[in-house]
Amino acid sequence: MKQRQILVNLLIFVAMVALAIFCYTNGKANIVFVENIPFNHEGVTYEAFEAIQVSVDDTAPPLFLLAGDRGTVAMAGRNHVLVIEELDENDNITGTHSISFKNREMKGNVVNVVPLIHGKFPGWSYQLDR
Amino acid sequence: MNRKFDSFKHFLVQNAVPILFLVVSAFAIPISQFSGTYLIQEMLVRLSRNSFLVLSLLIPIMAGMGLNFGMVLGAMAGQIGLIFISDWNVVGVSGILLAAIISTPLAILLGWLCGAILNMAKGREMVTSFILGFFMNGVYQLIVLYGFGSVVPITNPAMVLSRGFGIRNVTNLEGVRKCLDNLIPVSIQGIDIPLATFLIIALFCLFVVWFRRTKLGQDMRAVGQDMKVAGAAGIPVEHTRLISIIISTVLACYGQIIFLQNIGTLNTYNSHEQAGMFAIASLLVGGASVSRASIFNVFLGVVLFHLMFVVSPMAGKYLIGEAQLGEYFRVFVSYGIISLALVLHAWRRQKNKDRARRSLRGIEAE
Repeated sequence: MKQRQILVNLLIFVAMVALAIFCYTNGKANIVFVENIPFNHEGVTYEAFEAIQVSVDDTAPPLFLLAGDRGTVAMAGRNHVLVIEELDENDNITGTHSISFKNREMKGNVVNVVPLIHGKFPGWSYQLDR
Repeated sequence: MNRKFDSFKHFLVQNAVPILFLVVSAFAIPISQFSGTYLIQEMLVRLSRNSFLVLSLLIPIMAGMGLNFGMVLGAMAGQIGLIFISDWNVVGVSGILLAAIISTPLAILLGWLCGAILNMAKGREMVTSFILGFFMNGVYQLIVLYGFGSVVPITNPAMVLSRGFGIRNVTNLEGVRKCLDNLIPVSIQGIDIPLATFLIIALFCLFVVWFRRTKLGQDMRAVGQDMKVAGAAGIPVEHTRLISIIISTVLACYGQIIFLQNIGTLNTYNSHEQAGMFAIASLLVGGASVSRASIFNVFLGVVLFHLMFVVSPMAGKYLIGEAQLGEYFRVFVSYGIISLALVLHAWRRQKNKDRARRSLRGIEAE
């Protein structure tokens, strides 16, 4: 085999490996718990929403969460956009919040939308104890 | 007049299978009572789902190796890639790409193995590759049923059999389901068109056209026409045949990934078996033969074969009133077509020989 041929083959191999790593990190989906529970920050209690509809990255159908509820979504990729729609008693949308965050900002597999909406207070994401 | 009649007869003989299918479909469509929109939608979905697999058969035909029944080896490689991405929960187009990357070296290895064996069985490539498919099916089952979960780590317990190793009969591909088909969503008059998949198929067609003009493509055609002459002309016959099978296997692997992303479910131990059978039947229905096939044959074959597939169960049901009969008819059609096409191929070859002999003697037609 000529030296140039070996070099081209090596380059193809490296490109394939790089693409595989990129695909893995970009496409890996993690199961994340999304919850709507009251949150306490520096002595102030933030109440949970009465009813909300949460959609992540516009992929799966939205989650319907009442106060104190928790649901699961699969999140793929490194950057996410969480759209939270507040609902009244007739399930009409009264307000919409869109928050983006990165995987590296997350501290665990749980996201509480209450502190997330109020400016990503510490504790908006935490690890669920098994 | 005689000459005209002779050439018309020749045309009928050359295109007997597609003509037969067109006639049967023309009768079956009104009986099935399907609407035109439904049939167009079904054909578009099936074209996007199957064309890549069928196209992968063109290159070995070009190299004179006949219908590559060994394409199931590529399909197996593709399925292994899909099992891995399902286990790792890699979703979307990234998942499809990763599955393709994982399965490529496996497909190359299997293609090389298949090509090396077929080089030892020159002149009997089709039956050898057919049996090789059965043999490798055993190896595949051994690996997936006993190796996965024990030697090869599988982290998702939902995929593993209750005994702790081996993959379940059905693997859910929900994460990658239709991700390629819906990548560029286009809808015309309520008919969804999987544009991204068609673009990939179009690229593949361009690749085939380009490949035919390359040095390697020309070598393959020369080998396909006459191995001895090609060898005497300095073409490495065995190497060229080997490469054609490797390319076909790798492309079949990608074809199976495209096929399964459309279906959304992987039948772990059976999906690959059907892949080869239906792809070959489609190509033959399109008017291709063991020694001659074109891109047009691929698309015509996929449309006609799958039109029959969609229409025949309902036509059978309305004709005889038995729903199950339609299913039997479907199986009968797929297997029967292959045998019919092979018989017609042998008959056509005989006819062509007679024709050539007659023209050599200067007799036009009786």
